[in-house]
Amino acid sequence: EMPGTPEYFGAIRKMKLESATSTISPSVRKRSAKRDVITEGDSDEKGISQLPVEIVKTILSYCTSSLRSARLVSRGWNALVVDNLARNIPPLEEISIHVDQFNMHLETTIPKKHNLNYSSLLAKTFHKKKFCELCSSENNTIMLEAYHFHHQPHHLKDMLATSGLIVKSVRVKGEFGRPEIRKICELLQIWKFTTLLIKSKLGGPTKYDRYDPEEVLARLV
Amino acid sequence: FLFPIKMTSPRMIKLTSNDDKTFEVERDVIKQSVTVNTLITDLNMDDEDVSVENQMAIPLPNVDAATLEMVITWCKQHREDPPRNEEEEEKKEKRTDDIPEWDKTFLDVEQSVLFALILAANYMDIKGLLDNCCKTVANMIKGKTPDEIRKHFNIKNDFTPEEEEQIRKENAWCED
Repeated sequence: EMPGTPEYFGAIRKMKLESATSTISPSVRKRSAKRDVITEGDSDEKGISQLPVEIVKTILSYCTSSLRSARLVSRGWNALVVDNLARNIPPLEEISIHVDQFNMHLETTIPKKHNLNYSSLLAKTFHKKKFCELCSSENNTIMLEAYHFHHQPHHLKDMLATSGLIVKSVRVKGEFGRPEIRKICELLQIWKFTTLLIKSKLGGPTKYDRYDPEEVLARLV
Repeated sequence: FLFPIKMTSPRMIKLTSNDDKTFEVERDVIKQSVTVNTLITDLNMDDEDVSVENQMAIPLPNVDAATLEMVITWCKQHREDPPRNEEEEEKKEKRTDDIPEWDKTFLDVEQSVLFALILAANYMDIKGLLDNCCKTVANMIKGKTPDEIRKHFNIKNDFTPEEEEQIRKENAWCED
């Protein structure tokens, strides 16, 4: 086709159309289409397992009352439900940290209606035995962790499963001094919180509306 | 004074399925597909005064003829629907009892057909169709035990007994 003629523009448009709708070869397209699905069977028939993950998530978002059943369907379904729940974890009202010379106790209360959102997160955070104890508990006030500073110096590792958790307020209190403050500051960096209240033998209670570890250290140390 | 009324026929768009079947559909009907709509706009297909016979067909390599025919039928039925406000849709309570009666009957098909329709709606970016298909599948899940869900969708249980036990414990803590 000669440049400038209607046929020429038609050919250009055809090329654009083809590239817009099929920029990759059919074999590659088939492979890439299969990549983001829950692979539970190799059947070519179109089944729920062949749907893209995002669509299965949308479907599951419409059946919140059946999520417990959905978790027990298969590994793929469980992973999707857990991922979906983890993305929609409601903020915690408060985490209390009680500190003394040797130990740090972390405690929170989870509203019963949010148990499903928190269950897999807590299962990751707790040791198996502790989670079983929690499961049998009627009370939703949970001892997140109790550390001995000297025996468990790497305590933070266990709490990493809760990183990014949104907490409205964190309350730190106890008879702690300079050696413990750095440990507390390390821990505080895991969560996203709006208010921090610290009361120690060095002073307080002090309220921080914006957490800056350096500021906390400077004021307390 | 009498003026001759010029009857303008609706603008038609050609769509070709992956099994090379071409469909002619009104421009106004297919505007519900964001994918097709964007292509038409980006390639200035609205501007050109070309008869439908000479018009280039838009290839849809991920959609077969039977599914495309269903998609077009759905779009025709919903051509008068008000445009969706995605922000408001996001804020809405997630419910599945609001599928229109016509859609309920239309989507009462074999699972493989419904899933093909979901994939087509996703590829063609037709939010209304995709939502109603997802709600239909959600209704198939609701109220069923894990075993019933597996049977319904032909899913294999690949948990080890220990993994299943762990989830049961977590679920027990979440019971009302």
